[in-house]
Amino acid sequence: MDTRASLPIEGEMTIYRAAELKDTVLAAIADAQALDIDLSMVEELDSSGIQLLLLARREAARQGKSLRLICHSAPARESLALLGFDDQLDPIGVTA
Amino acid sequence: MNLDDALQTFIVESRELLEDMETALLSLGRDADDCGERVNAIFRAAHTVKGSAGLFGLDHLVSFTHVVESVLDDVRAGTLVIDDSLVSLLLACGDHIGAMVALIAAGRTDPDPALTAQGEPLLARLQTYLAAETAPDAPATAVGTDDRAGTEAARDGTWHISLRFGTEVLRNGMDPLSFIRYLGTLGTITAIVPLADALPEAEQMDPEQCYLGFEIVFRTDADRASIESVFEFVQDDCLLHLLPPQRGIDDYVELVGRLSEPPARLVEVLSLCGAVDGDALAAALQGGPVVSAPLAVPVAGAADAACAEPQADAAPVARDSARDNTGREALARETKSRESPSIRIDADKLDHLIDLVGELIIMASGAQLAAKRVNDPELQETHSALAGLVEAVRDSTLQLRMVKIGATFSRFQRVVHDVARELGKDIELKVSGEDAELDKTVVERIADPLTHLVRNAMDHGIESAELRAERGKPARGTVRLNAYHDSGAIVIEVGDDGGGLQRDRILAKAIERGLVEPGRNLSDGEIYAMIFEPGFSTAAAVTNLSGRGVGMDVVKRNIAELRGSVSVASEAGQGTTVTVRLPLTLAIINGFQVTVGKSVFVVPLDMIDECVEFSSEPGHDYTNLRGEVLPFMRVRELFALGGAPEGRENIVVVRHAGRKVGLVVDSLLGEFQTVIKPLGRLFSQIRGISGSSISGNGEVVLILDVPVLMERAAAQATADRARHSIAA
Repeated sequence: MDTRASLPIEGEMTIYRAAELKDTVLAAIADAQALDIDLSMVEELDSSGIQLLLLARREAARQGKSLRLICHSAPARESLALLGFDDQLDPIGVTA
Repeated sequence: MNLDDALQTFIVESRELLEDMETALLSLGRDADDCGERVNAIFRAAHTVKGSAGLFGLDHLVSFTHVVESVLDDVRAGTLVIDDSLVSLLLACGDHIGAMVALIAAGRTDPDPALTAQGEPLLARLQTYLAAETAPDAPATAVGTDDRAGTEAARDGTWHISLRFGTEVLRNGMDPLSFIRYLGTLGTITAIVPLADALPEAEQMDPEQCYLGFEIVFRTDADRASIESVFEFVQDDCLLHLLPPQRGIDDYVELVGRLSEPPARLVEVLSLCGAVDGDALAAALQGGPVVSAPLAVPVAGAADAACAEPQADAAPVARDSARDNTGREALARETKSRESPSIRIDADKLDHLIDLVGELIIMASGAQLAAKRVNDPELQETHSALAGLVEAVRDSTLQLRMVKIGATFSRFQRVVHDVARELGKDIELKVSGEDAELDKTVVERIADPLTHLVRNAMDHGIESAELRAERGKPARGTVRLNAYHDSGAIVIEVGDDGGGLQRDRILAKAIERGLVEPGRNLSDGEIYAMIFEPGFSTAAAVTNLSGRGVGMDVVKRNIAELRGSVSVASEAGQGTTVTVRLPLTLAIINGFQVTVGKSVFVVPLDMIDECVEFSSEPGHDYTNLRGEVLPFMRVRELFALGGAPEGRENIVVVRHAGRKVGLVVDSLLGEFQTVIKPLGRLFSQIRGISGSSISGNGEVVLILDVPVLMERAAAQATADRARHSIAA
């Protein structure tokens, strides 16, 4: 139980799949002690997707579990940066 | 920029919005309740047109609509009262925007000088409303000037943008990400700090709602209006605060006061994005909120109006392509989110389908005939099943073309509004039966005749206010439009509660013009029908609307071309009702085939009452139909076919507009589905034939025009009566 679980998310993390992904992500957090969300196969990440990641991070923290975002795909990284988030969802602050 | 799909969508949607706007404007005057909701609807329409136009870089459209929107915003805010003259002005503005959209649809995205010139007087009049509204409001003007000065001084300055998106933004198909990305095309986002403080607990969090906000430091040489225009699409659904380049700590203090997050959190966020020194802001906040900051934070409104001019020319050309992309995305998403159970189809595709169904029907009846000849029961059975299906396909296909008449009716609100003003009469339009459906082609072609009838009713029908008062009628006149279905036809009534037709004057005029011989006995209906004669007008005064004797005959002709008929009923002092009967569709009819000699004719089935064996009162052209006198016409004589009937003749009893006539034919062939093919131009003068068709075995059959034949019968009857009265 002390190994990190991994949750790969494929395809688009957008409003069209938001409801489904919310359940998936929350279930994965509940099942694991530590979770890596693998973003390598994310083709599109929109605001709703980012919100879900924020929710996951807060939920993991509330349950005292470790959560990391790993292997960001280029679209995922670009969306995060555009809204002022770093790779682990912390605000970057001054960008330019 | 080429006419891509998104632009097409924009054009279609703009037209719909303008229609909505017009409807809402016209409904304003009628009843006072939910006035606010209608003003909102009008505002939203103007606002959305402007927003979408902005996304396509149609700056001329944006700058005109912007002024309209500003006036509407004042109306919405309650600082400006909407009255009749403003409604008319806004209607004219709607037309002008429509004209600009039409130009864009024609492929011209740059402003047309002639059209712009036409817009100038409208703008000038709009400005008087804006000026009247802002003049006594000193602080608002001050903000405007300050703001403009700020814009001048701070070209390439940094702005602070505080954004909180509404929860429904995502569901409405808009993504905050797209707006931030688009904002980036106007300048440089030097800092952006996201706020997700509004994110609820996991169970309550709705993944399709938006909980995000942003504090942004933005370096640009664009002005306030351009920055605001980025967020046009979500303006109603997001909280936007703009702090211009020359801002002080006081402005931030005020901003903190306006935002809902705790001050300490905001200090943290604001200092993180480098907008302000955190300690200084915290200290300033300790000093208590500054209540009356001289430099207010204008969100929209008055300052918006002041920026109208610089906005148009400050828009950099380079961002057009970026705009285009964002526009497409936003529109595509919007369309997706609005996905309704209906789809748009090209009218051409539909026409093609109808043509094919027409051919299918002809072929199917051909095949059925062939099957009969082979005399194979199995083949016949399949064919009769096939015929049933073909009929169902025909009905559904025709149903596709059916549209509700309501849309046409609602257009008349505008006509009545404009004409009533022109005439200086107080007239309201009452509409009923909007749900009656009829063929799109018929709807399109009936609009003009109806317009004429409505104008006529308003001009000649409704009396002047004084006369109405004298007659004890309500000052406000009423014009009614009603529609209903009646045995395979649609009936449209145009009525008024005016003075009614003057029977004697019409008769006198008809005699004067030699249309009627003096001393003849005519029914009221026959006399009223005179108003449809060419060049016939009894109007005492010729106005520029009607009364010049052109029109009613054209109306009648147009309706006849649609295989329809028109009649008038009138009661002195009570009003006039013009009744227009039209076939539901022009393409296909259910017919009844009859033969005369070697010729085959089709009588529209919905006009046939019954068929009886031929009999006649000796020496007269009428027969005794169960104790009723039924006049008849011999089709053989009507079309000079010659020859003599072989065997017994038959009478087809046809009914139209409440009258019955018999048609004498040789034999009856039975029901027949017929696709109407119009007669060539060469035959357009032939009376009594409304079209042709091809029968299953490839023969040409002619469709009898029953209304015209009935008219002939009536004329003949009157002539006979005249002959008799002279003889007697």
